[in-house]
Amino acid sequence: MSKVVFILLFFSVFLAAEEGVFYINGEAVKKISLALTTNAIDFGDVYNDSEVESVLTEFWVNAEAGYDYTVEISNDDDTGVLEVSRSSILGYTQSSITYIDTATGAEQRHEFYVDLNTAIMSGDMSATITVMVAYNDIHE
Amino acid sequence: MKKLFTAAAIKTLLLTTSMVAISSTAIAANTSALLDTAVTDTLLVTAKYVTPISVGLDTTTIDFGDVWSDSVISTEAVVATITGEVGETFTYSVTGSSIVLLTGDVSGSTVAFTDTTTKALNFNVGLNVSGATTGTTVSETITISVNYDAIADTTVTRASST
Repeated sequence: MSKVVFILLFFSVFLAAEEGVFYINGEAVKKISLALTTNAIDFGDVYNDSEVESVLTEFWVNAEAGYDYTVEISNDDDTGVLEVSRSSILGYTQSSITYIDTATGAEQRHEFYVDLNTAIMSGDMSATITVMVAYNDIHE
Repeated sequence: MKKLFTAAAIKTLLLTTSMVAISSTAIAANTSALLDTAVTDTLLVTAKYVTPISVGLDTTTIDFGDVWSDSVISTEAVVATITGEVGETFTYSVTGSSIVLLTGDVSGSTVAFTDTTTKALNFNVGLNVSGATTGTTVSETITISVNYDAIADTTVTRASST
């Protein structure tokens, strides 16, 4: 009987609890997507100071309208031969390129140029260019 | 009432409550990737380094001395050494003015660096003295030109879905 009394008292605590209200807010945000239109670039046969034309490479980003995202274009070439730029004639760099854009909610076209600094070439080259995109501020 | 609150019934109630609580927790768990996780894509860049083609001569100047019309002079042998990439082929030509007589390896195409990076071209230089006149000095330059036949150009592989 004492057990029954205890259990009744235990549940009566919940029964006697006051009601409370809280709200759950959330905003549906689409997952950011990225698609490069180029798989590979083969500059063919090159030698010191040979002229190679830069190659235009484009990629598409789709993210939630109004949200900022960061784009980073990097490569793993440690010889300094591989160069990239967002302009066809200026700003070529062996380092990474980073910039911020604001999503429109539709597919957004981005582009960069790939070139070789043949003046310092001394052997075959094989490198990977990585394009990364990420939202800047997803609320926790 | 007594039957309703038996120990067995209470245990069943507590067990059921626990299972519901555990299940609801599992349902609420979000195992999808975080929205702020970076998305990446890659492309491969390659190039084949080729030794620049070059030419070296074993002779810098030839002076035939004093000559006269129809005089007999011996030709001079010249060796041009071409350096390039194994597996590549090249075209060459040796040229001069009409007063210079050239024989031997004076022109060719698709000459291969089969298993070595050098190739020797042997040619002879003479003078056409039939038209030589007194007081005339001949000064001519002989040019050796070489170039690769097939330097691969850039190729771009597009993604199939775009």
